[in-house]
Amino acid sequence: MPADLNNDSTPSRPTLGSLLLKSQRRTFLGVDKQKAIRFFFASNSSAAVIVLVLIMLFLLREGVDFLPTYRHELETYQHAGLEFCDLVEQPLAEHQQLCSKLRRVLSASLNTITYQARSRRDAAYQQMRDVEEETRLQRAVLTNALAEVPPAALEKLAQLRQELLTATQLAVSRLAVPPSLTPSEGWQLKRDLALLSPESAEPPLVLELLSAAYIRVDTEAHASFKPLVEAVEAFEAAPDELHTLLNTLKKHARETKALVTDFHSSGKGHGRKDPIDFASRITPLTSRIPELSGRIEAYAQRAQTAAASLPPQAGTPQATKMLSEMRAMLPGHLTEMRAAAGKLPQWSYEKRVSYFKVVLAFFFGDAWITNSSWQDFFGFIPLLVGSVLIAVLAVLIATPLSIIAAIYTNQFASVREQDFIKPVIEFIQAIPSVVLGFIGISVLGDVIKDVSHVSWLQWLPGFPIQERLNMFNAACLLALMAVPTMFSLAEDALNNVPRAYIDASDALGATKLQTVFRVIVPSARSGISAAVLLGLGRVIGETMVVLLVAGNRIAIPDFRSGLGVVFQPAHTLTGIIAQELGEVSRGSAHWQALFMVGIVLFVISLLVNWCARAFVRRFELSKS
Amino acid sequence: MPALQSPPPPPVVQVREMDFCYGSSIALEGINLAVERYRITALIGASGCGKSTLLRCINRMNDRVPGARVTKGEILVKGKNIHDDDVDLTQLRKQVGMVFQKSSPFPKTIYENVAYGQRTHGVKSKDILDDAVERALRHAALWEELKDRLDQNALGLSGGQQQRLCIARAIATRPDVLLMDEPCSALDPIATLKIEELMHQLAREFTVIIVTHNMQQAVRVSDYTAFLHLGKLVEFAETDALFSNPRQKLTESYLRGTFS
Amino acid sequence: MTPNPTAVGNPFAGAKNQQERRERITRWLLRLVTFFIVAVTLGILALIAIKGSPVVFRSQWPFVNTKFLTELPSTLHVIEDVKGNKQEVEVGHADEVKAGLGDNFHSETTISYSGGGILGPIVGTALLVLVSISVALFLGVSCAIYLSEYAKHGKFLELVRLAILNLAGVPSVVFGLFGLGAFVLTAPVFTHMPMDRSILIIPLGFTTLSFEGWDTCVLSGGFTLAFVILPVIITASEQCLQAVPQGFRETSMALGATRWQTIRYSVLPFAMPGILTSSILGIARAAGETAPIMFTAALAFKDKLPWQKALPPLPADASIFAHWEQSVSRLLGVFTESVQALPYHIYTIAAKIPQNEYSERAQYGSVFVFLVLVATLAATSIWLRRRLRAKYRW
Repeated sequence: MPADLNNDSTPSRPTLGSLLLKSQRRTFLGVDKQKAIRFFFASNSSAAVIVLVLIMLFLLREGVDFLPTYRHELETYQHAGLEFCDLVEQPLAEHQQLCSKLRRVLSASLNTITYQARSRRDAAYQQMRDVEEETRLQRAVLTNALAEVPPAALEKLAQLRQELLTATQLAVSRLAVPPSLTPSEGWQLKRDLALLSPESAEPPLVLELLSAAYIRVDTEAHASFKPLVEAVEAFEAAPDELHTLLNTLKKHARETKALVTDFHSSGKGHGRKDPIDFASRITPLTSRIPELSGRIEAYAQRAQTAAASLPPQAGTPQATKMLSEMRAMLPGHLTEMRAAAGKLPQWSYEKRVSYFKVVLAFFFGDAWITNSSWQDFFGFIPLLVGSVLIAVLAVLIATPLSIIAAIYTNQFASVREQDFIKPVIEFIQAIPSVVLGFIGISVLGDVIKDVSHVSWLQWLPGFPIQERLNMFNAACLLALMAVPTMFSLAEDALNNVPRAYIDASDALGATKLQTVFRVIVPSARSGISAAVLLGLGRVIGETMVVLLVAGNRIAIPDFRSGLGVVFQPAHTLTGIIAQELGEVSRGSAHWQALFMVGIVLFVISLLVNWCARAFVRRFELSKS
Repeated sequence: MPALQSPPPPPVVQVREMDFCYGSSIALEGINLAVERYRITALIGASGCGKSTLLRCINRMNDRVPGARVTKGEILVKGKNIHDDDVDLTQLRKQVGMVFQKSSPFPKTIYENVAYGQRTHGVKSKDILDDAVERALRHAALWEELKDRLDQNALGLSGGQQQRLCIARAIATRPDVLLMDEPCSALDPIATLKIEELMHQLAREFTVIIVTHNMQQAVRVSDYTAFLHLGKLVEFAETDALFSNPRQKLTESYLRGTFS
Repeated sequence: MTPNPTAVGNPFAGAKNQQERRERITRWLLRLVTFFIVAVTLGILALIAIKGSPVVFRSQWPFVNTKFLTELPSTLHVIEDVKGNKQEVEVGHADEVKAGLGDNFHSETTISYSGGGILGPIVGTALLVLVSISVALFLGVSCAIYLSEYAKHGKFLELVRLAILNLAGVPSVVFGLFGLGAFVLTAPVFTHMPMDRSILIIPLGFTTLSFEGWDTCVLSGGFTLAFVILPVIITASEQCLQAVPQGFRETSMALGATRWQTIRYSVLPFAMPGILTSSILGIARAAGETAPIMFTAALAFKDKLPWQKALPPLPADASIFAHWEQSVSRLLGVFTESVQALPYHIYTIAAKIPQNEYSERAQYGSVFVFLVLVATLAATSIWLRRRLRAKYRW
């Protein structure tokens, strides 16, 4: 600006021109109005930068104390001897799994014999329940009338009885006798049921007979599988003594921990360093190491004996397979138990917990346990695995869909089709995520579950699924959310392919399809990659859908089921913040852990953004 | 080969009384043109006279332009009306190659660029492709320069090389006719010279039709020249004859540069 | 050798059929996938419309379920008598009805949040959107003006652009954490009695400025949402400013106008319609976000509208001035109250209560109203943008 020039570069002799152009501006503290306005806008524009910095600052302020807090917690865990108990407790948890396997083997085996009798009994009982349900109202009225303190008039009772009888007969006449019952049994059943009244405490005779028959068969079954039954019982009882001892020790450890917590919460922690005499508190634990080891060994022996007495064959091939699986697992489990016993003498409550260990415990911890009466753990892996699995799955679903849609819309669709497709896909962006989450809960979950029970689809991994809310469900919805982002960016990338490529390919006699898939799509590759990455960024940061739909089970999914793993519920980084932050007190380790998760999310989002930008930059370079 | 007195070989490309419209505006009118085999035919004329349009009619590159169509007359290539229903566009373009004003190698390797045409026509055998690529590159006088860098990205080549690569790409499908739309207008004089030399080589095996705005170039490379003006073919003759004594006044004034 | 040109067959015959069939099949596959996405989207919308509209609309005059739109959410009591007739009762009348039934009373089920209407959430969302869009427009438009009109290429500009890009990618729940840390727990307030948690207290004589946060309230939530939509607003505004032809600015400058005058009179008036239009999209986004307001503004349940806060009753002879003062404090108090918000309400009724026919009705009703609001905003924005694009074509 000329005026500025004249103000600043003061010439030695002011010319006429410079006098005429002399600035008329008034200044305040050396800042004139234009500069002030400019400064105002510049400062506002730095809002984005400031907010980004502030986000980092506030996340750090709340989250950074997590490491010392968690370290203190882990130290308490160690000093109070909870870790000592867990040394034995954790490997022992596998005993439960083995037991449940055995129980399944047993019930499958018994089932081969008892199945018919039981289903006959159950069918008959079901009939009775049906009748009772149908006559519920009349029955309630009669019961009330009977219970009245001055007894109701006999006529009224009789009338009510008559009503009930009529209703019952009506209900009975509608019954269809299940095929598992013989016609004569069915007839008897109907007859007895028709006479059902509230006073009759005992079930009809047919039912009693059926029950008795079942019990008889069951006893027979137990007898014929006697070795198995006994072995299972022995195996289940194997750790009883160990548990008793362990529970005593755990109680002691928990008391110590309570002492520490009390001490710190009462605010006396400032003066003295080591308020509680951990050494003396820990002796009751360590002094019983020989006993503990002895019981572990006894448990191992017993478990082994019990396992050895298991018969080689179970009732069904499947059960036999499960049995051999269990046998295969047992030696590993026992080795672990014995190793735990071996570790006990070396364990010391005094070992320092280094910050490195705390960081490891957070970033590589495999358990996120909160509000536990025993010990809270903040391990990040289950959440991360959930988030990553869901996000990757969503991107895997969304990428082909949105890129194909972009290719079709951009290259093949007529103008009218384009005018229809584009607004609809863009509109997906406007659907709030909580609405999609709601759809997942109310519709999609049931649809997926129903589909998984279709008999000719059972070859698919993970089918039939148990949980309505699972990772796959969430991933489908997230994929839908990612579609508009990916679609528009991919379409832009396709649009940016130079016209000349298309001409040249056409002139070489390539068909439209060949041109699209051999020239246009490869040329737009980096743009499309950026689109996929940005879609990933959107998916991994999404909260409401995963919170509502992913099932919120905090555990590392069981990868042994192969691809079926996607039908398990999981929890996510975003979901855990949204779910738990509202319920924790400010400044607790849990609160800080959630902010740590926030920090990680923030960093992930920056990384994804950075990668996408790198792709786009490469794309622009190759174009010019 | 037929005896000496046999009639001259039939024209490879024959345009008969053709009118061509973009929507409602007429771009070409009453064009008659017969292009002889193994000759270079140049189309000259002022900007917007329709010479590029005419060229693009020959392999039906105008099909994609909405509203563009031939309204009258016909174009025969190798004796076949190219607008017949049983003409497969991809086959037509395979046999009538085209090189554009702006070099446009695909963002792929040099090898893939040259092999592209063969691949789109279903050739999968590595041997045939190798052979075709080498032959095309030799034809385009690029083999010696590029034989060791076949797997490099074609966008790394110089402008002249890129254009010759495009020529190689076009002749790799062994077309009968090669259409060139101002192939040198974006190149420097040395690269232009190379391409002009190349065209003489190409004329041994291909029939070349070239659009150029550079009259000297037409003189240097072509055997026949057609002069178009405002959508009409004004004069079509052997290049020497057309330039030395044009029969039409319009041609003469254009050649002299005294165009009104 | 040279074949007679007229006798030659078709030199351009192709392996047409097979090739063409493959092309057609592929093309149909592509189309199928594309329309699959479209169908899923439309299906979801149709489902919500079909299940939600019976809740909101009535077949009789006034055709709209006014109760659903004008009442606060409440607990629904379903009372069943011995005959199996079910009766839906609001929370206040449950005992009355039970007494009326006397002996005939059979059972009672309560379903939280499923009775009444959704006025509270609608009002809360409106307030949040009002605050957030005001803040975001102010910051966003000035930022865009700087970027488009003042900034020269350099480090600062790079930094700002980078920040905007990254801000757009930050997960919304992280914004929620930020809002909790910054606005709920730290933002400055004027108060006479600073709280313990205040991180900085500046005495000003007549009062103190204490950085103790605004607590969960409309302001906190609104500011948090403002930063969520800030990148959207900045990008859209900048595009609109860039779309104003350079000539307008040059002409103005050539006439001796200052830079600010140029912007004020020759740029902003032409860009403003576009900016406002795009900001509608920002509104839709702000209204739809849940995670940022979960910890900063939203409540699962509240039985009062924000302006129905209990204030000390005025004496009967209170002056007009006192009445006026109380009205003002009531009005301003709206922004310092925590509210219910539609998306959070939907979250609550979708996730926190058992599913049955009654809760389903409340769910689909709320979702339908919410979607209609958001969709109207988004559609208006898209439509206006099309029209503007046609109108301002320089």
